[in-house]
Amino acid sequence: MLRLFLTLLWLVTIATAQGATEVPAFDAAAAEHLLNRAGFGAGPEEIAEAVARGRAATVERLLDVPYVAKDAPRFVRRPIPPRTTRKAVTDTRPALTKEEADKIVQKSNNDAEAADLKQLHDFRTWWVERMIRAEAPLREKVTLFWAGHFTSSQRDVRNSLHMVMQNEFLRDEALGSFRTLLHGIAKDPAMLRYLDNNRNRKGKPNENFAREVMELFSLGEGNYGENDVKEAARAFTGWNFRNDRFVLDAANHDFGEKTLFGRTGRFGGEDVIDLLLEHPASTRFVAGRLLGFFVHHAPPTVMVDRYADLLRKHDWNIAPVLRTLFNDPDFYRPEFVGSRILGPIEFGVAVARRLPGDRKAPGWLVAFAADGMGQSLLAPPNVRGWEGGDAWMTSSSLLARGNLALAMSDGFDARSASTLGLGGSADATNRIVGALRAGGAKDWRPEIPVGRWIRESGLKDPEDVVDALCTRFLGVGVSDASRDTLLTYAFDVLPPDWDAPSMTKDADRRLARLLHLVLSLPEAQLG
Amino acid sequence: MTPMRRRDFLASMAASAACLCGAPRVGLMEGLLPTDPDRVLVLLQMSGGNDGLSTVVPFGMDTYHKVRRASRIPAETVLKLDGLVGLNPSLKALLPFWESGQLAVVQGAGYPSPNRSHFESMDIWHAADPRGRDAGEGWVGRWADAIPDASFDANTVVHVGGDKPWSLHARRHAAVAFARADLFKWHGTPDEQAAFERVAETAGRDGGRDDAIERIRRAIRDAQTSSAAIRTAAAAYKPKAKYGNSGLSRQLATIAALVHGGVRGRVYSVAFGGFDTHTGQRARHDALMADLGDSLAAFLTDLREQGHDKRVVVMTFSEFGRRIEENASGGTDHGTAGPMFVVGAPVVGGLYGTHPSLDDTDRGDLKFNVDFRRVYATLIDRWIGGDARRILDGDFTPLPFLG
Repeated sequence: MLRLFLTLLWLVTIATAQGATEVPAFDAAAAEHLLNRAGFGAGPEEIAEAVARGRAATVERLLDVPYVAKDAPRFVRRPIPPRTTRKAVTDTRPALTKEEADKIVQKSNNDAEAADLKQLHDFRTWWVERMIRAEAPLREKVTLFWAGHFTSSQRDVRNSLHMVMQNEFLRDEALGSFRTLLHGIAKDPAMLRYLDNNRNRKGKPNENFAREVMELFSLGEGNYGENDVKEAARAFTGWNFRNDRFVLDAANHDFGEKTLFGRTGRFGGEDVIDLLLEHPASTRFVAGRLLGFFVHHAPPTVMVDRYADLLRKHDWNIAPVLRTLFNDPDFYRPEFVGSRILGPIEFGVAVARRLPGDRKAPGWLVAFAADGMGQSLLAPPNVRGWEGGDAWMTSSSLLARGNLALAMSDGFDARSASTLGLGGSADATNRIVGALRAGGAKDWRPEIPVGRWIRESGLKDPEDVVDALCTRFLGVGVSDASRDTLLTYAFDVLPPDWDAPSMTKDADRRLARLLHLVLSLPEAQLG
Repeated sequence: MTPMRRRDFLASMAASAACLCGAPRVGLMEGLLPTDPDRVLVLLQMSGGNDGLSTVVPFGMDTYHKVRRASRIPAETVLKLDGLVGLNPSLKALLPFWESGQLAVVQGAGYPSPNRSHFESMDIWHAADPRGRDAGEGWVGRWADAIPDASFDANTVVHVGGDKPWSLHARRHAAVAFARADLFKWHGTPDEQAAFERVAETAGRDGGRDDAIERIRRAIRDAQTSSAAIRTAAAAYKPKAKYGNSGLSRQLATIAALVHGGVRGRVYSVAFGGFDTHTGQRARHDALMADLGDSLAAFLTDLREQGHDKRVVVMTFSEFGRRIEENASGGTDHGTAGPMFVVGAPVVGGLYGTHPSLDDTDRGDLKFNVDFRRVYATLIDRWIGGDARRILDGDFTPLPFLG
């Protein structure tokens, strides 16, 4: 009751505050924009619901979803045995010859590698299916954002359990506080390993984490000096992990006095992180990253400044900042709507969510295809994460996007995944498909073929069919040029009696191809 | 005939390198790219850490015969390049290229503070930077990014098969990558293909209604052109040399097809693996050498028969060499420096750099004596064009294996 009252009060406040600005109507286009950015796109039913509910209530619904922390199934939370060495083996079994020890090492490391790879792929599948099936996918979208911000990669971490734990942490705190996120990520085993802090010892500091926490996580280049990095590195000495948990290794920690950002004290790592959060550049940096992801790749400076102030005002809490953003008339400015180039994961998830039926499209296919297009979940290319934007529009990956769309419109055989033309390499394909098949990846057919969906909607005229497909499957309005192309094709392949019962099989195939074409349009890459 | 020993002339040649620049490199003088669009560089990656001592065998060094009991290649079978070193006999197919002065062997290539992790060391070679991936792009990517948009062809950098190496990672001008040329396409029926082409052809008709749509249309058009050029060239190709059945042979044959078929590639990349020979090295490594030698020889012969040999230079590399001493399993563990081959009709053959000592070592590992970035600098400066200093973020003196 109190909650309802507060919500109403808040709505009134918003309405008053925005009285002066022009508040755009929350029509289907605006609702679609919100659901594109706060999620992974939506079908017409969801958009109609959102319009009926209104903007503020839709935003509340996105933000206020019951969430169970750390709910990844046990099969993706298995400990991964550490890789071993000959010395480790002969230390415990000195009677072994070198050859015998080498054999044991090889067998043990191969097994660990295989278990690690399998768990990695199983978890990717689980994560993508979560994005596909989420009722209110904002938390998943923000988790994906943080995964690109606080990068770590399995390639260096070589422990999929640690990667899974990091991903769960990012999801738990996705809409919480950036303060908690920054403090937590600094003690996260995968991060400690990824940025070499596990090798950061008193007297022999390793500056990797200290530098990146400033440059990439909190301040941005130009807002700190070399001395700040050096002193911060000392404060993080001895921060390590053991048995999958953070430990402060006191023997290797430098308890001495440090001076950074003009302050002197016996700072520990936590103090340094607090200094970063207090630093005036930090809110601007984080606001810029958030708006860069949720609004436009080059957000206007005034808007960044405004959201930097908001982050400070809300003491780094993300949810209230996003609430303001999604209700902000600036968020709906025409030059921002439909301007975002989707990453491969967003593209695949959006297609999967818009397919008619129960959102049963296989996560592994999307994760696998995205890997071939340069977006490997839990393994971004480098510490800067995914560059995004136009960088996604490479020749190889545009062809692969069309081929992924075909596989999802028309179904596919897991066995022939390597010939679907999803990008990536033969080696990687064989490796990944092998692991996926071992994990139960199966052939797939859409639950409701698009042809059946069209027939059941009672549409007959090719022009109506094209419009229905564009409305359902594109996150932005279709351009006249693209629509003309689709119409020409539709009239060519759909004869006047295409919906006669005797034509069903043929028509279904042609309609799946038409959808393939829709999903290969430039418009399908945007949201 | 054995080519003249080059190592003695190294210093003087390097010093006079500037005046060796001839007429074909006018563009280079102005810092322009590309200098000559017909010039092609092929990068051949040997993944896993190739044992340099079994590739260019220091048969004249006593220590070699003492420390390599299981993997030793007897002096009498080595294909001698001089009194000290010779090629693994399984590389015999490359011998004619050595004899005709088209094979440069760069000895002891490496870098300071060597990293013994496969991933990290390979990243260093790919990025041409000790920071590896965190340096930003790969070295070929930086080269491609420096090409003005207007003169960049979508197929300028092409990787065939295997994982696409980080060296090709670019910010603006992405490399094309495919495992099989015939699958490098948008899968559609002929009707659909025609429609998909119209999607890109309509570019510009909306009068800039949406900037992003326009940019993607152009990218789609590039993708279609790129795919069509590659598939057409590969399908039409009739090799004029006999390639083997190995993956490497097939990939090199594909590259020959693209070079011949008018694809405007400047840098091609292939990778082949299996070099992580911790156990039973001798037989495994010999087989890899035979594959390397035979595949390369077929490729070079094919190019010559097709009349493209003067256009193409091949460079081989691996993330590290292996330790000098064998392990107990008849294999070798991760080491440091190793040899690189640069081969092709335009190459001035010979030995470059000196073979690292097996006695004066860095805790049992070879000390490198040629920074691998000097090889890259040579290829940029004297072959594919570009500002080597900017691309490699430093001054690396070229080697005279290209005139």
